[in-house]
Amino acid sequence: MKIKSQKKIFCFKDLLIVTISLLSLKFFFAKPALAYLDPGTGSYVFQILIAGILGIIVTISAYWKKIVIFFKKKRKSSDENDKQPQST
Amino acid sequence: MKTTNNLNQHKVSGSYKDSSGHVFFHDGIYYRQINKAYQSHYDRLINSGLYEKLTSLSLLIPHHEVNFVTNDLLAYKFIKPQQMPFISYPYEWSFSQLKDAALLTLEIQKIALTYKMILKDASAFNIQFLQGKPVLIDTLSFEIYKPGQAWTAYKQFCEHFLVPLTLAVYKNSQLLKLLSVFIDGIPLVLATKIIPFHAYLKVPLFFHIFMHSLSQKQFKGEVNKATKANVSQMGLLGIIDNLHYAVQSLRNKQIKTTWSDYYDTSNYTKTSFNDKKRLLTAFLNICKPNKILDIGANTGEFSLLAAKKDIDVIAVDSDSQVINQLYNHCKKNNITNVLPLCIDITNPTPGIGWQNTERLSFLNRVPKHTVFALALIHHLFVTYNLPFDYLCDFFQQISKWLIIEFVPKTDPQFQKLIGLRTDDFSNYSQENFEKSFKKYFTIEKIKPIRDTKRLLYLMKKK
Repeated sequence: MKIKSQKKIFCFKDLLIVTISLLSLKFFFAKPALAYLDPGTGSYVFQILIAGILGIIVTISAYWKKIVIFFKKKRKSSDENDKQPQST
Repeated sequence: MKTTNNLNQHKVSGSYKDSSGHVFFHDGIYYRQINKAYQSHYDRLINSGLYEKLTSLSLLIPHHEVNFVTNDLLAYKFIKPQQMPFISYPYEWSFSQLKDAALLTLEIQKIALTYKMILKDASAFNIQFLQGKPVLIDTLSFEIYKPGQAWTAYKQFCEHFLVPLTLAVYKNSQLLKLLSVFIDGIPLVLATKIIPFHAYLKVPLFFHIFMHSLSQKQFKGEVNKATKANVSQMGLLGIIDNLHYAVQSLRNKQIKTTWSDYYDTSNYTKTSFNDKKRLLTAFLNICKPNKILDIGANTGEFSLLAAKKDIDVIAVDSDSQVINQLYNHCKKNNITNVLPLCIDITNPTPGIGWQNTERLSFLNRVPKHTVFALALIHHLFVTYNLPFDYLCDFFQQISKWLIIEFVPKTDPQFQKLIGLRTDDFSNYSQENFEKSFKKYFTIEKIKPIRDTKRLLYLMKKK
């Protein structure tokens, strides 16, 4: 009986679970491309130093553009509203 | 299905660095092998829609997959990219060409990030000019973006694009040729020694060149710090955006050079200029070329004439300013069949890199068809002391048809060239010219150009 219970550890269901988890790991950890290019430690570290400030700038400019577009649209629609009574 | 076991024998000499795959030449066609190591990245490129997006915008060279039977265990797939009619190198480009190539690289990078991919290299050699526009030819340049990673190719981008462009603007456009000395990009340490300090008043240049160079010195060998690097995607986009702004804001100053106003100051009258164009058109109707190499093209008056007849033209000149003018003219007027290149024909691009074959010489790549040598040989004869025998030997190597202009000694331009020299140039005569060239060519036509003493020859290689 003991032997039987030991065999159960390697049943098909368990194997399937292990296989699926291994396969899913493959998606989480995609094989890195064989990096043939030396990024340079100094260049790599430097990006951490500037990423913060440049990230903030790009975020602000993206929001700024949205604000400008919003007001432009608002202005346009109000202009059109102004024009409409003239045409009628 | 094509069968060949020794694909590596046909490997292109410059295609050895990236273990993701390589380019090989088989039966007159260039193919690319994709290795298993790159499989997940290639599949993501195709399946994510990034490939379709980039090719639809003509930013990446299109390809289709082909089958090869090979014993190479590394091989995953084979692709046949659209074939390039001519390969040019960054050190043969003018300022605007390199700038457009830089902007293309950054545009691709921005699009790739939206598909969760990133450029793993940013080599200027990966860009080629096809139908007047830059295009990325390395399909294996993409890798899956891992959140938090910095840009591996940041240093390469700065040294291949930003530094040479900055040197061209703040020093001299001739410094673009430095890329042929430093095949992997102009080192930042060297650049900071040449670039004047006032260039750093532009904040992006201060960041990406000056501070970047200091950081290289400061963190040299500190691998631990680099491996702990965590750059947010917004931060990465910020860097790309700032680089884009830096490149975009660099503008070439139009400097007056010896050749930049040649057509305004030379002794061509309107009649002689138009007559030369008429004769050229007549000659082109006889030799009917599909490719032309215009040597000493200047701002490309005659290259453009050929281009109008749907002929592909490679226009070369040693003066980078006139080549830049021609490129911008073609870009503005949507002329897609002229490729302007900065090449000095008395010292054409040599083969460089590993075994001098990594990047091929100009003469190795040049299409051997029809050559324009207009208002050229008197310069070569007088300024460079090249005898007629040397000249005809050179032209017979690169042409089937030759359209060449003979400028007699009495011509004002010839007298100008002599300057203070005391040589009598007794060997320079129409008779000696014809005698030398007849060794390799048959003279099909000789026509005088109206209002001048100049002669236009149409020659066919024997």
